[in-house]
Amino acid sequence: MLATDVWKVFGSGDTAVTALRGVSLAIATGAFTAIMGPSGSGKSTLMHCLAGLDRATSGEIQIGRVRITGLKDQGLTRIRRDQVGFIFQQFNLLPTLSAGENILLPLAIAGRRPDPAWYDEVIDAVGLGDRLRHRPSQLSGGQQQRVACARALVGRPDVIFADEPTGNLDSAAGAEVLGLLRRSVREFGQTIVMVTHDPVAAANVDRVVFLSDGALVDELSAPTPDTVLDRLRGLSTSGAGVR
Amino acid sequence: MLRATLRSLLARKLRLLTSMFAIVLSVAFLSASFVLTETLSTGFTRLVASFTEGLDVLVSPRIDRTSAGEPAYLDDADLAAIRAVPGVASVQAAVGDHDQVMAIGRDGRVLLTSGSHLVGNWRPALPGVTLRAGRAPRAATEVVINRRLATAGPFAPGDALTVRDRDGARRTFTVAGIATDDQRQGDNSFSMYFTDATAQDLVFGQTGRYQGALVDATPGTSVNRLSADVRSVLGDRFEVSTGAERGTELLETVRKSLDSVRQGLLGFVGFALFIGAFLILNTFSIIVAQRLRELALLRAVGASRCQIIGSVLTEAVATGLVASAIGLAVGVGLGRLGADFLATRIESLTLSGVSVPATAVVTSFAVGTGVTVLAAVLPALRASRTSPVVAMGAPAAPERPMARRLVAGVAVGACGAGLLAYGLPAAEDSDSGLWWVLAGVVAVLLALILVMPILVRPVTGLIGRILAWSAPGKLGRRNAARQPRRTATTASAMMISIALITVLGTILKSEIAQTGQSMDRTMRADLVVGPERWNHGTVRAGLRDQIAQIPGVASAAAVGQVTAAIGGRLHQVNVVSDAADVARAAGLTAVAGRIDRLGGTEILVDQDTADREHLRIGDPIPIGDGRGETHDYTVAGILTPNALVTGFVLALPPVETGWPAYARFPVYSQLYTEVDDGADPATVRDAIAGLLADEPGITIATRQQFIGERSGANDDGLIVIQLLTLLAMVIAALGVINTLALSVIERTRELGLLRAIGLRRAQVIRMVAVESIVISLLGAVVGLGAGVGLGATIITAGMEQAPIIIPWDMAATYLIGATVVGLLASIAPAVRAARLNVLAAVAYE
Repeated sequence: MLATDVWKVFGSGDTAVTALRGVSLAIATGAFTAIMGPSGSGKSTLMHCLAGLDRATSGEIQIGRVRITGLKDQGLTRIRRDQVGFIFQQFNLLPTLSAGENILLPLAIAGRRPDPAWYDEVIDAVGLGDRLRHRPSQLSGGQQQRVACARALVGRPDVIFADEPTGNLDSAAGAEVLGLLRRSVREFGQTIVMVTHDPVAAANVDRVVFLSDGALVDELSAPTPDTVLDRLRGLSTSGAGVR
Repeated sequence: MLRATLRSLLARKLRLLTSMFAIVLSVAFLSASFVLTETLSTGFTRLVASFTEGLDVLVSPRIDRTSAGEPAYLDDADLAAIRAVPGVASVQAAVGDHDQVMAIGRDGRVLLTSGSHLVGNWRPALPGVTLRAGRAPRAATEVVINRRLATAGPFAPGDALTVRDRDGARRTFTVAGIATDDQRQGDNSFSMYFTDATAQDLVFGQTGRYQGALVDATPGTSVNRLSADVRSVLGDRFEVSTGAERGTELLETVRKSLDSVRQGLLGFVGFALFIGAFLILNTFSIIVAQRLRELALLRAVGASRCQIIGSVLTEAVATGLVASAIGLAVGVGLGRLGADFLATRIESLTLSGVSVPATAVVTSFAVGTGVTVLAAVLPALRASRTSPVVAMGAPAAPERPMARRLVAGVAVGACGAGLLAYGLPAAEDSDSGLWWVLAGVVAVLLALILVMPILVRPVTGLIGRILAWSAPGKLGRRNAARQPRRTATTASAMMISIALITVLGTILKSEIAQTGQSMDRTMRADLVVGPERWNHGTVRAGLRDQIAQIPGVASAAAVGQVTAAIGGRLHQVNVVSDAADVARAAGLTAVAGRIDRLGGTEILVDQDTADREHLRIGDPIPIGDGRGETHDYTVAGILTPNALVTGFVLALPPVETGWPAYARFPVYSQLYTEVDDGADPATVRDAIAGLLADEPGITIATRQQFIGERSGANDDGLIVIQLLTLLAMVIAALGVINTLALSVIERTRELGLLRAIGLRRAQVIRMVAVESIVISLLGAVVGLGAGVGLGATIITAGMEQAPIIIPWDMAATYLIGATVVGLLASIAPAVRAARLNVLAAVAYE
């Protein structure tokens, strides 16, 4: 997917806040990409725009062969339904549905039947075969997030966006979820874009892009926790963030 | 998707239950109205069948709609003619009357009963009447009485029974037998059966007259054929019909009156539905707000707007179906109870089981579900606009500015004012004008609903200042104003109901005051004698003469009614004892001509009737007297429209013209009595009351009592308003509970914080209570303001010379009621808030 000169301005006139200042970014298919940056750097806004959850003020975003900038609500809905998957920091499972029903929810909304072989493979990968009938409240945080991962994977989207997927988990559960995401990239060729501020999480990805004050400032391939931390320090000393 | 919808619905069943209540209530009224009428109708069908069973052919007088007045009577020649018809087995002719001849008890006074005093001729084979002791009357001085009268006396066969005849004279008879006639006459009437001649003498003052006849056919004779034969013998002076035909006619009449009962109940249904729709709208808005994250998630994983709308509307359909089902069940019960209640007031009507017509089921579900879905449309649209970003933890979009609402509100309000201005001048004369006014009122109320969120802050500030003297109170007041839209929606249900009720109340009270004031200005009578309310009894002419002779009575002006034919239609025409007396005592004034002297061929008419019939002073009016003769009258005066004497007025006695035609005449409906200047009205009243002891159903009222009653001070309208108020308050309370419960859940964290910094439990409860009372008073205050304003506008523009009476007593009741409702509604949420565990609450997400 491709983003070209994306701007995002909230509000207007005196109270206008510019969150993105001309971000251009290419994300390789089948790669695991992390977006990092201090609080207020615009990383969440960038992801919302890339995912078609929010509309960019200007610029162009393309997912697969579709230009999503300029699409009306119906088009964006279809993109979200068929080409994009989401993993949230707060898990965001429907408390009234069982784990299995939550996983199949996007397909149910789209009116599609799951491919049984693929479904089994996903369930197998997330390791929740015996928990499918449980309600989210009966699952641990790590298990809930794995359900959310399965929900994102099962529709075989072009790209999965993960928003601080480990933010609400302890380190063991976090490592489990990150391992799962990395395996999906390696084994299934799933494209994943993750927003995080955790250098350890970022060390699992193929490529990290750094955002500061709404602009891309740096990037790093094959990162380790130390190299990521170094770059982040560099960003905060340049005066942008509060971190 | 459907599954997700239904699951989330079940998870909120408690909240939905409270909002469903309003729909349940209105559907219950709706289905009850059907069930009640259908059950009664079934009961009546059986009752009528039991009346007409075994009746072959009935003969009854035909009421002549053009010449009016006296019905034709059967005489002995007619009966002989009927007997001569081939196929006739027997003929039983009937004589009967009620409440003219009264049974006197052993203490010398008229025996009292909640039913009637019936007299008639004894007929051996009368259906529903069975002789239990003694024998039938043979001599002119013998009587058979029913068991109830025998018990009330007590009288046994052989005892003497004194009756008071139509002229007030007493006659004594011997009890020959005792019969049961509950099946025919009901179980609270006194019946006396005499020989034919005695009955005729008592009823008509002459013999040889019958009011109708039952004709029995010989076995094998066709009743239809017999009916036609009898008709051809009697000519068209009489109605001749078979038992079955008569039954159908009776049922038709019954069904018509049951239909009007149902129409009345539908008013309640409409009101409850209107308010109920608000509550549903409110609840769904709240549910949508609660589900915001969930909806955003659905949007984020690809649910389209239509799917979200579908999801909310599915919830509405499910809610509506359940509410309708419950409402229907409750309505069937209510309908049965109502039918039972009405049945006890209708003699000899017994009900069995309950009839639920298919229309009741269909309408209940259609209306209940339809209204719920309609009310959910707005929240559904709002839900579909949820931004998917909300699912990512972003705050929901801030509330849109109110400017658009203000503009819309002002526009709709202006439309309403326009409609009122257009409709009001025409409202008194035409139905269409009334509809315009109604549309105007609805538009103004809609405008208020639109601008309500803008009113929240200033009005709650005002109310809060009175209530919020403590820190928790201030917090409660601020909380009430925190989400103006939600507070406004909650308060709107209360506002609308109180506004509607207040408009009605203001108009009703002003009308009452107008009538009362004009009567007080003009009426000179000190005491008024007449039938009790709801009683169509009459005052004997003899009684008038007796009252006129009581010392201290200056005049006793009497007004009665006869049926006469004017212009080809039947009219109830007033007959007055003395035009000058009546005009003065009842406070009648003339628009034109003179009304204080009335010659034998002169007639008065009120202005409304004169306008309608295009009559002027000196115009000739031919009046049919009921004997087929027409008399020429002349318009002598035109009366100012008034509450006491309407239509046409004739003088009494017009003996020279052949009037009155009615056997029972002269009888009066009202006696307007003036007391001499020197006399004590209380003494005179006691003297008259002494005379009335023997006149069941006739009472005496003082001037004030009479004016109060006639101007409608105790009118049913006010009772209906009280009932509506109760209904509205209950529904509004449920709305406030819903909103508060949500506020408390939403603010769990904040409440924990407040508790952590030292707010005591009692203070938490007070804070929530103040919020609740402020919301509920907001609705009441705005509703009262709107109601009084609209009411005053309608009175000023639509009713001539009416004083504007602001119903302060109603206003006070509503404010107190709203406070109580607010307090009650806050109990459950406040207790929940007070019970919060401080640590858990602070950590609450």
